[in-house]
Amino acid sequence: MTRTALGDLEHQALIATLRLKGEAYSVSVVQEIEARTGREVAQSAVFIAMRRLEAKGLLQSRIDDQLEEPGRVRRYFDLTAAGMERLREMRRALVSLWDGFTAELEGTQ
Amino acid sequence: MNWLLGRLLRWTLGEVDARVLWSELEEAHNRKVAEGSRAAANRWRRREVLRAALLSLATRLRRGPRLGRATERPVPGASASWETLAGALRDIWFALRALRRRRMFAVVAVVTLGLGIGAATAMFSVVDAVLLTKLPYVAPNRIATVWLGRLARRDVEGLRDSWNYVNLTDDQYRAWRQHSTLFQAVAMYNASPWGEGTLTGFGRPARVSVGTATASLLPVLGVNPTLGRWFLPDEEGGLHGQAAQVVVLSHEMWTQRFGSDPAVLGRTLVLDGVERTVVGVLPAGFRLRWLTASSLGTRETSSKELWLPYGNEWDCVGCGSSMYQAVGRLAPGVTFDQALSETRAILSQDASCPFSSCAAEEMVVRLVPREEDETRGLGSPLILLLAATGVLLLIACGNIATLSLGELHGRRQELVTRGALGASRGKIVRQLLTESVILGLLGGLLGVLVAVAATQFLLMLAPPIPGIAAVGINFRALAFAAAIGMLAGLMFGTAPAVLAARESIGAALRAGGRGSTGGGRRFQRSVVALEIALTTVLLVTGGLLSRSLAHLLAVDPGFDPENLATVDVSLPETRYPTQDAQARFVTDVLAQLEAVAGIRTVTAANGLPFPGTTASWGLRDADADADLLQLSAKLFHVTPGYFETLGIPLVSGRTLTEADGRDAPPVAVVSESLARRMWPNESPIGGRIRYPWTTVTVVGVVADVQREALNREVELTFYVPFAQFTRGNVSFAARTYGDPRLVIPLLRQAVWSVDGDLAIGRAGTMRSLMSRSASDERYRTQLMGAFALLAAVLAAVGVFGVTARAVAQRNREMGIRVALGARETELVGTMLRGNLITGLAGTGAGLVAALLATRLVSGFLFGVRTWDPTTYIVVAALLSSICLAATYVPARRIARIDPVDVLRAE
Repeated sequence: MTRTALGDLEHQALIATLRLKGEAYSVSVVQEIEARTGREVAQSAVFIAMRRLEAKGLLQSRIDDQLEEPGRVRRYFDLTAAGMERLREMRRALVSLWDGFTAELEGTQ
Repeated sequence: MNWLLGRLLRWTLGEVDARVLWSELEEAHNRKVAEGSRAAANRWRRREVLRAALLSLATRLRRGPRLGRATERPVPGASASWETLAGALRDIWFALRALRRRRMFAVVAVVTLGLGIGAATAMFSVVDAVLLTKLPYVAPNRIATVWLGRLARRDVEGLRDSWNYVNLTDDQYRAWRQHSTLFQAVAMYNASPWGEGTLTGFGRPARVSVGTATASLLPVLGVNPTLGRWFLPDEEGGLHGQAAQVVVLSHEMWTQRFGSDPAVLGRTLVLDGVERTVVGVLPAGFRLRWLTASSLGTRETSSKELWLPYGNEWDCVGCGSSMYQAVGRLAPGVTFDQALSETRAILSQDASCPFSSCAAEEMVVRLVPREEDETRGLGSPLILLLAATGVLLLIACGNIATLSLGELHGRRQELVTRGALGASRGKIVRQLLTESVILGLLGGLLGVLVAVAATQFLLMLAPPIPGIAAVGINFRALAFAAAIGMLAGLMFGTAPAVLAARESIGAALRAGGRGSTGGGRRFQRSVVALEIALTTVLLVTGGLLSRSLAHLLAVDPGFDPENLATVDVSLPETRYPTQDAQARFVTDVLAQLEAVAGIRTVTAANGLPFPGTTASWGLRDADADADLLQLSAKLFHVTPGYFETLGIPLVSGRTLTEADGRDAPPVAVVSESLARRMWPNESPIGGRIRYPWTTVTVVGVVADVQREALNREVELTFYVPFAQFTRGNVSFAARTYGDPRLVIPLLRQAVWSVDGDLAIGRAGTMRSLMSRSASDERYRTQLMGAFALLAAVLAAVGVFGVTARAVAQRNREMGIRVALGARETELVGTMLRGNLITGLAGTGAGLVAALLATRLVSGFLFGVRTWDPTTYIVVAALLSSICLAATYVPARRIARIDPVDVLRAE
């Protein structure tokens, strides 16, 4: 299967899903990204992006309609094995790209 | 609002995801409400829903362009219909992107189409308003007009066209009303062009048109006044006495002269010196055509400004003059045939006829559906013009077809790649067709804008066609534009798309994306030939109409129209009740005018040629034995000097002089054709003519004069002295030394210096009146000519484009031939020859088609045959030269081909 590049938001949503450990749905992912990056993201955009990642086989999801509050529904996302592998690759690539620059960057802050 | 947002989400995301996302947005929404304002939270949620919808659409569309991909994972939860829609949206999205890349082509195509569609839509809106719009009556198909025809008149000179369009007399109408049982209601009206009056009390006295009708007219038509009421039955006059002094205004009169003031009801108007009370206002767009034997053309409309109840001063109650149009509404369940036999029975018993022989002659009674009468004679010229715009649009489509085929050659690489990636032929054809239809729709959009401007232009040029005031770009015109835009897109898109699909893969790969294939070139050539053929038809038609118009305007009217200034005045009976008073007024004005410098001679009559609206009368030889109606002729009352001033030559005898005064023996001068008809073998001088009221002795014969229009047969005419017989209308004519336009104000002043309360009607030079009489002909000739020229330009562009592309595509071949020693002139010659063959084939086919098509216009031609050789030869020569010129310019480029460059590019 051909590999398609991931957008910023898709990238961030994948990492947030990893962090939230099975509790990732649009509201929690938005909070996670906003808290970590300080950047506002749109909830719908996150939802659609995660569905797109699911279509690409990087995420899987389940619908939970047995929540405390009656009538509520959430779609929880989890990383698939392929998604996990993709994250590792991305991290490896970035780390190797950044290799050797840590000191300079920290110093300029 | 929430319901709407929910719908939007469901539509874009599918049922499940919509529910989930809505619920999750709700969670965040609740938190935001708790933190801040509810309004802000609502705004936020709206934005998020819209964003979700757009993103979801975009996600799907982005998948689209990869036509080569064999499988696509359907988005979970999406329905089948959504998939179809998404497919269509994908095609549109892709087509728009493809067109944006080829902006030049798109602009040329859209502009060409816009012009074609604009012309067609504008013409359609005219046809729609005049012919297709239902009459503003209740159940118009149940209304009938009664027409009489007198068989004895069928062969009478001057009545041949119109013998069966005779109106009823008021006595005949009364008999019909009294005895008919199969009609719900019957009515009559008189809207003849000579019903005019003088309105005073509003600034300058104004001449207004006046119609007369019975109280039953509006009920028969099923029309209600906008304001107030129509006449009541007891307001009608008749044999028992005068009509009530009430008046109903037309909508135009009400808006223009009274500023749409509702308080106009109850106001009094002074019409011809009599006070009349306004009781009602007719609705806008009220349409009631007045047809008479002599005006079956398009000119007469019923734009009467004021309506009076029957039995007023304009009516000649019981006079026996056939001046009333009778209409009736059939009773429920009654057929036209039943109603006709009853009407025939009633009217054939009637003996109200000015001649004792009438009862004996066979009378034809006809009932014509009102719809037919309202549009009679209007259809064919308009349909002809609409057809011409259709042909124009076809030519435009042909141009775009060849253009887009050329474009496809340029896109060959792209199509080949797509095909190689697995896109089916069907998919490619669909994609190309989508592009064409989008071009068509864009062209339609531009066409609507063009049509809005063009209808204004059409209205400016148009002669007074009934209903034309209602022309506008309405919903139907918009639908028409969209439909023909789409159709045009399919038309010019299909052939290239199919050709492209058939050839794209194998052939193109072999050709290495270069060169035009035989099928494509053949197609282009046939399209160009077809365009030339269609252009030929339009040019021939336009040419014939132009020649016909030229013939028409060159007709010798029988008098000298140069340096003649004219002005019309109506003399209200209330102010000029006696013949003496009228004659005195005319004498006074003539005396004033004779003193004016710049006027050579001056005369007065009850009417002048063009339009020469005076009544026709039945005549017979007073000394002949047979008491039969012999002829129908126009009667003019003229002052001495009439023939001299108008320049009508005297043939024999004498003209009328001052000696033919009131108490002198009644005399007449007759036209040559009348003299010939009445006294074929003897001198008419001394002959006696009897017409309904009196007998006159012929003292002179003058040349024939064209009166109503230049293309009518000459009408039989006789002239009697103004002093002996006067009528309510007077026209003055002055022969000037210099520019007649300068004299017109002096004519007006002279009239007003004698009586400042008189309204002046038409004033103008005789030349302008004559030219106005040909306005119908000029209108269709101008439009047809414009369409034909536009067609020629489009065809030239087509030939040019195809040749230019052929030169570019055969660059390599030409380069090699040049390298091998071919001379440029030979190569250019090859090109010219090829296109000349195409052009000649097209022209030839077009000439044959024109021979057939111009039969449709034969009725509009005057003095020209449909196969007029001059027109055909000129058109053929013109098109061949256009074809050669349009070939030569791009073909010359061959001369600039450098074989080294071409071969290096390999």
